[in-house]
Amino acid sequence: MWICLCEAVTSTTIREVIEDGAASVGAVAEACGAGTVCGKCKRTIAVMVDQHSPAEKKRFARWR
Amino acid sequence: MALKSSGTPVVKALNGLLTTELRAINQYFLDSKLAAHHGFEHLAEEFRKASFEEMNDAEELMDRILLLGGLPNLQRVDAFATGESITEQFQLAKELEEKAVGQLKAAIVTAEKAADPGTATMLREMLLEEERQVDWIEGQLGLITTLGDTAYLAQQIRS
Repeated sequence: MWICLCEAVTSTTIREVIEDGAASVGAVAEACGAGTVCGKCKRTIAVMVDQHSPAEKKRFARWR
Repeated sequence: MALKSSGTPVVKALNGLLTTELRAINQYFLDSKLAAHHGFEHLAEEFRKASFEEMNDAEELMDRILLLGGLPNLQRVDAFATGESITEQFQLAKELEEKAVGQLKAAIVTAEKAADPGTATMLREMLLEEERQVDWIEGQLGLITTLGDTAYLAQQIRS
């Protein structure tokens, strides 16, 4: 599904960048642009970071 | 004229519902246009109808809020996602409608507590409508499961 409508970023892309190491909302934004315009999807992205971060990155996750 | 959107619990509840309606208008409108873009004219028409029905609801809520001395908050719109496939669109629509139904039930209780049967009656009618919408969405998801994506979508091409 499209999570970030401003930048047309899908959940698949967001999941991929998280699995590739983006461990915060800010890192996801840098990696794929999601959440950089109106910011409404940031909450959803934060949940996705929590769910999909590789185990070793987990403790660094969330709002950074 | 002093209008206060944050006024009474009833106005707050109505503004909460309005936020959800505004999201629904946009979500269904985008669903409709995406369906049309992919050639599913029939489905596009259904989503378009849903979007317009939500707009009628939004209008009723706004009128009621104003009547109660509140200011309708059109600035706050919930974030939403839209499906990349028709099935995903229906799943997200179901989530949205379930949220609306829960919110309506809570708002009816609030209106009754505030001895405001007028608002409660209006909300009851909206609740029935939303429940029918949930039923329709569940029906479509059921059809997709029974028929498979291809057979279901083949029925959605013509308007």
